[in-house]
Amino acid sequence: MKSILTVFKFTFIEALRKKAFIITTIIGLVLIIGACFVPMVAEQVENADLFSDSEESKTLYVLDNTDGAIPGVQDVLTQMFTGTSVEVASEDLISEYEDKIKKDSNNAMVILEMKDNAPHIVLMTKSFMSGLDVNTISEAISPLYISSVMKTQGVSDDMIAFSQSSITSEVKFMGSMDLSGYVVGIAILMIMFFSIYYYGYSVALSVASEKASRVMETLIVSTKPSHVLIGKCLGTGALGLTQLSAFLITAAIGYQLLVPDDFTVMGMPLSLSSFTAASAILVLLYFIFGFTLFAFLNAAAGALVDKMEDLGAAMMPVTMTSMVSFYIGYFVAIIDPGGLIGTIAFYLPLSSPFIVPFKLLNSDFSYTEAIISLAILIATAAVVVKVTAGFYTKSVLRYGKRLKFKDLKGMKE
Amino acid sequence: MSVLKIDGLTKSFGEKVAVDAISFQIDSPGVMGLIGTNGAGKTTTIRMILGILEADEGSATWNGAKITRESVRFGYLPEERGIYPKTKVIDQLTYFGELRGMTHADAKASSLRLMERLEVTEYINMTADKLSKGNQQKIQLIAAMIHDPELIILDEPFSGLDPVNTEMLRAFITELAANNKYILMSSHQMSTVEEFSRDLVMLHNGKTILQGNLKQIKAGYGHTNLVVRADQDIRALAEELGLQCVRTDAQESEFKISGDEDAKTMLMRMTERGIIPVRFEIREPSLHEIFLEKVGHSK
Repeated sequence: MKSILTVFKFTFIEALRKKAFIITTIIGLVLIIGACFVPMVAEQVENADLFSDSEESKTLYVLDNTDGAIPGVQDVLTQMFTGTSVEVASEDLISEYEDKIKKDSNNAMVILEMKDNAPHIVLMTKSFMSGLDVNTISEAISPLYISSVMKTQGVSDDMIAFSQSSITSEVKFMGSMDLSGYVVGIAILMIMFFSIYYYGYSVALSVASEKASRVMETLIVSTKPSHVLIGKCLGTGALGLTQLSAFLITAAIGYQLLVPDDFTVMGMPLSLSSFTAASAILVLLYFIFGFTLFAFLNAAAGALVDKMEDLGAAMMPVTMTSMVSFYIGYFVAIIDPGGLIGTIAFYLPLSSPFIVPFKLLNSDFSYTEAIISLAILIATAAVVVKVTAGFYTKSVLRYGKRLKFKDLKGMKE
Repeated sequence: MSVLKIDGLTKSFGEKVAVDAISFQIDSPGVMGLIGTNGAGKTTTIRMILGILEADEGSATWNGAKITRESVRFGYLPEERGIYPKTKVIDQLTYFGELRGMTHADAKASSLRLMERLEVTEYINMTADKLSKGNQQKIQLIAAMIHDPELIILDEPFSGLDPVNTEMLRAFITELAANNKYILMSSHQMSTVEEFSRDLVMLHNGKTILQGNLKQIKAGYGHTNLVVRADQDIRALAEELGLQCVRTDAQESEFKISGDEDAKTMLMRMTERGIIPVRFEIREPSLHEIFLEKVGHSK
């Protein structure tokens, strides 16, 4: 047990010091902080559409060439762009307005004219970055024109008001999946795959480099090979959890500090309320045992090679298995979480680490089902650890010839 | 009772018998040489002794108990040198010490003591890949010795070392032997083993072709060589007496003799002709010659 802890400590500290780890952690943290800024920036861009929210003085020139077909335009635009000076423009000075707009993005011009017997709006701004939206202006002005036409046709004021009213609406989701659960579920699925794949690869790399550099012979006369393997997997797994924790804590702080309270995606608020303590524990357990399963398979692949350049080929079966398992989880999450494939993927130990955390947030199932799925995963991981430890012991000092199945007989630690 | 006893160790890889029923024992501290050409089975024997490889037959015991990591404190310098290239020297030495059951402080203290002894303290905080091959080998040796082992197994310890480091390692091994350590040293360099070993096992194609006390083995061959250095060329004279010249260099010549009588006759003829010998030495055959003779016989 002491030797497992020694290998664990050495693996953890050595990997923690590596430049690759430090750089990926910094990049990850920067990306997460950057992502937390996105809603704030998006909100500001959205607000910028209103043109009037900026504190700088702005001028919107309005040139009406419709002979009064749209009454009250200036009032509507003034209400719409509060803080913006809305000025009636003269046809004779149009070149001057154009110069002003070219020089200063705080100036813009709306020209109303008749085209094919209907009003037509031309919006002149310095560039597409001005944030002004001609459709928004059109939506605001159109009711003025319609009500004016209806009035000339003798329609009553009540009828005009009624014709411009809209039916109120709302959406109710009867399943347990909401946008927040979906977004968080997909994010967890991606993180699980990234972590299991990346840290599993680290285990294979570490085993292969110890074998290629011949350190292995010194190691296994010092302690049991299975202890080296277990310590190494635990150390790498702990490193993964440390990095993930750093990412998640940063994300949580960024969410609290940087994401606006009223932030919505497609009109729906983003809430993490569905992510309870129980589901967090289950996600953690699935990460631990999912990582264990794939890390030990990767270790077996790493123990097979004599040279580092052969590692990719040796890892291919494990890589393919993890990729297929991930895509099963991903497509089940998107297409049919509650169907037959989803149910199989839920209990299948290779895919359950990917699909269960998603279903935890987006599907109706009991904790009993989750515990059965977890038990299958733990049992499979235990068998894989046992078999892999023997395989590793037999393989690590074997150079040149590949290990055959019959060689696994009489494995000893 | 023998301290280290190897009894009938056998190992085959497929059809090839790599080690065939090797037996030997070490009864008291000192150096035992395990010699043979490349592929003779030395490393396979060592790996079976240490339990890295499972023997098909036979056993290796220490004070009557099977050799395991727990039953004997052994240090092993593998033939294939290997240390962590990107890890600081002190960190990896401490790690190997801790794996041997030492505390962190003890492992560090022992590392520092051995580094000082082998004159590599200046590399303490360097990563191993920045060290020369010879210094990397010293670090590996420290890793094998860090926990003060009772049984030390050195597989080709001198390969790849420059003369200065070779001399340093010679002195270190002599020191270990003087400190009552049991040392099993494999080598294909006969002169190296001859220098250190009290006993030896000679392997060829997995079989033992000679074993026993080195002095007794050599004594058994009697005086077989005559080394002569003189001011004049004495090869023609030796030829007249029917002595075969086996070596000649700028200084001296060496001849095969069938006994002390041949040497006596040679000395008489030289003095008769007024040739004064600067060196006149009758000696036993070298281990190299014995090995060549034995390999020839085994073929």
